[in-house]
Amino acid sequence: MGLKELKGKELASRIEDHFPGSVVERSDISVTINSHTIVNVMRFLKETPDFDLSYLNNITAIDCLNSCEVMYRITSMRKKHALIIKTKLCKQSDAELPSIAHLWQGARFFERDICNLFGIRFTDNSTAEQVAWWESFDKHVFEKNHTSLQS
Amino acid sequence: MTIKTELMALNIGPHHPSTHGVFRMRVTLDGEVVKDIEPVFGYLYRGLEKLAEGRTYTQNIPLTDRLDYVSSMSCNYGYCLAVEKLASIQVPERANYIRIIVCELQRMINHMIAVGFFINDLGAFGTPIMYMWRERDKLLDLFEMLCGQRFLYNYIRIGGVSHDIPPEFIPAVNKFLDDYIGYHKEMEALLKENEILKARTIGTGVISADRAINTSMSGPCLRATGVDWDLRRDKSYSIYDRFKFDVIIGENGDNYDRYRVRMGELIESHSIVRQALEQLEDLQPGPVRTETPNLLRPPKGDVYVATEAPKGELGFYIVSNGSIAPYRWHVRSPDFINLTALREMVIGGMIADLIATFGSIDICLASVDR
Repeated sequence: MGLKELKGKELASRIEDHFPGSVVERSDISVTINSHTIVNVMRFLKETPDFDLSYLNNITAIDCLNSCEVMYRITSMRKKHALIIKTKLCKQSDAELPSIAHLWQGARFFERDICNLFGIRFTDNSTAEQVAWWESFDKHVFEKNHTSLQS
Repeated sequence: MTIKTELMALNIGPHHPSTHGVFRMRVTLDGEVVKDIEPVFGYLYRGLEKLAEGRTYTQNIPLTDRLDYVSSMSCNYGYCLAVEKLASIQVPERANYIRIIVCELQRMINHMIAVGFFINDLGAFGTPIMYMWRERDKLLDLFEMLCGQRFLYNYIRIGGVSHDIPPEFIPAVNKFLDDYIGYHKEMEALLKENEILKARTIGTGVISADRAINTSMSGPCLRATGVDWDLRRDKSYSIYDRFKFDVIIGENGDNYDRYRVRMGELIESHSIVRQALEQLEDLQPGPVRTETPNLLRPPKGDVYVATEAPKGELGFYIVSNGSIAPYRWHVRSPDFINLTALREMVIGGMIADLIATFGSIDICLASVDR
């Protein structure tokens, strides 16, 4: 039996029962969560035995021009199912999202990478050092409106 | 009486022979004991993810060659599977078998290099790596026969493979497989029970299964801790469910277990290639590629597809806005994430073991930095 993709629409109602008002959007393959409750929802998905989504595969971000989306991919090795959780942020210079590095240590470098490339700061992430750039570099080259390093 | 010693900051790399490329570690030492370590990335950063946003889906295949250049076929494969899922493209049966054969041969190449360089890092300079190099070179000859390239193949394409295998390929692979078992035994006789190797690797660079999962490790590094997880079996993507193979796991998550897992996987890949060749012989000749437009426009949407690459979970997250180029192209690089767990594995150990542990993770800096 292969790895099963959890149905976003079914899962969204379970999340909504526990955290009313937290689900922003739902689709077949993903659930979009309010950025304020993202840590609680991720903890719930990780620690609830029914879901057991204890393995964090990936975190990345997408620049949607007026907003930013952060995507989390989590898997249960025991139950052999996986899911994509997303959250949306208004795009502004002080865009901030709570870190999940205390739940998954692996999140630390994913978040640092996103912080450098998209300018999304993660509160509570112990290091905000550059991953791929030099220390004084403050441009966020993965933003869609980024044009050149001289600008 | 305890003698108070001062901590020393030591910079290893970026141009150090044991960093396997350009990578730097800021190490804090108390005598020879590692107290802290901070990895410094980015010396080979090329912005592939951003470059891909300005190229068509087909043009991005050669970029994946340049992710993990030690296992380019596996990177081609992971990317093409993601685009095929996004654009709902079916792959011909014959192409599926060819892909499995080349990817498992690629896994053998990767593990030969990984084990060879790991032993090199331990101080056995020259001999073991040359044994591995010799077998790897035969496989590169096979790939050259297949697609004219020894290193960056661009062979696996969206919808199949670029062209069918030449008639002399299957007998050549069979000959390699026949000979390989003897060479594998030779390597095992040389290394498996070697007293120095065991003294250097058993109990060093240890990480527990729980910590490995928490740090998002994957591939042989994760399996060495005893976690029975292999996407080839547990996700059974493509046609992996048609082959019988064991998932090799370790017990202690130390350097020796990581080495043993890779040696075991060499034999399992050998077995998968053998089975795939037998099943391919029973197939009627047929197309090896579904025709797809050069300017492919997948429907709007996003997809995350992960494959079991030789170094671990290689994931591609692609967002399409319906145009000819991806709106977002993200690579979940297995060696980048495995490398971030290095700190867990070396703190409290000796500095000589740091080099051994670093070698046992098996990284390719092109894939780490992207």
